[in-house]
Amino acid sequence: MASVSAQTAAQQPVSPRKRAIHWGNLPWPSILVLISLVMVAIFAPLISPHNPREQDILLQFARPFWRITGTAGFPPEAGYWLGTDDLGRDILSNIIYGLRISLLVGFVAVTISLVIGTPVGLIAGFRRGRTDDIIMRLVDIQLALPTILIALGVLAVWGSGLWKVILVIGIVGWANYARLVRGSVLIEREKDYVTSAQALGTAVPRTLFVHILPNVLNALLVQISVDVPRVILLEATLSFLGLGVSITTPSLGLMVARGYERLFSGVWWTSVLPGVGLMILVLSINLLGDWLRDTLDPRKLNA
Amino acid sequence: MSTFLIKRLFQAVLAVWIVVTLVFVLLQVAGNPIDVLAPDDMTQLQRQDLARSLGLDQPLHIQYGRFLTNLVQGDLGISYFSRQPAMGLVLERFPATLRLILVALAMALTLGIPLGVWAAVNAGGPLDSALRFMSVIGISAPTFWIGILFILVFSVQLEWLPSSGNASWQHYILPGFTLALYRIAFFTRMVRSSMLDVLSQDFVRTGRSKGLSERLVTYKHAFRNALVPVITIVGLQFGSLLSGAVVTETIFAWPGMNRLVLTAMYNLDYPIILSFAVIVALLFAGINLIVDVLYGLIDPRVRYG
Repeated sequence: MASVSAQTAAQQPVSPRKRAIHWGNLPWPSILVLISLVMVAIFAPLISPHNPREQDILLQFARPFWRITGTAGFPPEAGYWLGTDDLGRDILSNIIYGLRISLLVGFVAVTISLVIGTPVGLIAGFRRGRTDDIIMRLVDIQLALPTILIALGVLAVWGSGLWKVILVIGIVGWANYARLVRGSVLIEREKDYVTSAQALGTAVPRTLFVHILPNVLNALLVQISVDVPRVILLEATLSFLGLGVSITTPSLGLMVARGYERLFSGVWWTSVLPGVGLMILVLSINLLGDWLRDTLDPRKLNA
Repeated sequence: MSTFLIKRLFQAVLAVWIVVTLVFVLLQVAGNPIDVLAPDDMTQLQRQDLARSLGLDQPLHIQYGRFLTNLVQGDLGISYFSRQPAMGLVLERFPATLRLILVALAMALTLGIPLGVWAAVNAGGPLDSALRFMSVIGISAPTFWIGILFILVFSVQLEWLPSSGNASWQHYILPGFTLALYRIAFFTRMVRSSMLDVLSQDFVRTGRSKGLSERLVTYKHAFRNALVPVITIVGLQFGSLLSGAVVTETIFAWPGMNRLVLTAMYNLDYPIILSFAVIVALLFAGINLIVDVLYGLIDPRVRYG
């Protein structure tokens, strides 16, 4: 964060090289965790010990492997390492497939926001004047409204489902990108290289996308790293509330919700363990995002 | 100051109108509540009667006009299900939600601000790193899952605290903390970076160089300035607290308005959803106004333009 730069700035001049990325400086633990989770999600059918949808009521509420005592629970040899849920489905397999859904939602929804928000922000920043005023007022309103309430409302009336969730979250997320890109464009457009490009007769779209956009990339990357985990949690929350993905989709939020119903009868693993999976995923992305923010953009974006 | 306030008030009214209209339009796209309300064996004629009694047979612009007229009078119709005034139902549950949010906000501020200052004063040290890692965990933990963990540990296992309702002050601890956790982490990060920004500014150096104690510089001079961005963020956090309260109220069976509106969403109970939207929009507009004014009071450089 600003911390490091502020401290070092006082003692020694920051050389440009200091900000360059070195292999040794990368946040390896979170990168490795994230890569393994992505791999697990991609190769889910090969890795997961069971079909996540496979039900066996006789195997209901098998305990996770470290809680197996005597005849209670089922031996992990059967591959139910993290136990089973109320329908006898393997929890580990469901978490593995759930990671798939989370990652899918995270990346597709953020891509949608990016695709909508970036051009809008470019136009607002470049045209300025009235266009800018109208767009920014819309951005303000969108940002002021609680995303989850909008998403809940839309999904309640439109019906739920994975792709609807992705679309709604994606569309609602445009405003941050529009604001970010606009802000950067306002700074960039005053610089000499833009004036030169304009003087040379470069078409406006070309100026925007070829000349200005690359200068905004760092800020965008930081915003994406903040948004992906946020969106993943949003989907999980919507599904937890019963208005997200359909009940047959192995969503981590949905699994926690199902387990929650059995919490008071002593069956904790069906809700707690999927949450652990979700948290590790989000945590690793957030740690990576923190590092990105420190490295790429220590001044512009706080908090 | 007064022109500023009038301008801001006008903007607030405009924002409320936009939000409310958007919700109205959204609900029209949503589908016919008669389909939800009417039993399957209802005849066509009975359905029409029902539609008429709820005013749903009128053309859209009439419905909208009537909606706006009633809105100004604070009347948003009768809940399709409980047959009571919708605004009344939502308002009745509003205090419970507000109390939960305020408790969570108080917890978040009393813990988050000192932790953030503490981290900033020790920037770069092991304490800073530890706090930083903990705050990343705090913002990464899904609220609903945290709530469940709390229930599991403190209600089911230890049986220390109640897990549903809001009858006594003990009932506030688990839901309040569940809702606060993310914000504690968030404020810690926020205050830390804000403090560090301020600590690197010239007036702090001046303060130090004229021999003021480090304590005075940090806690009196720097801290006050570091609070300015925090106020805006607190205002913005209100929206996120309200959203978070949806989850918290669901998990802890909290009798607040979010749980009411969630049920209304399942049931397409339009008047309730609209009343909720109006209240939320008013809250937001009001809070933004307060934040703007506070901003000016704390930082005299901000001019009311």
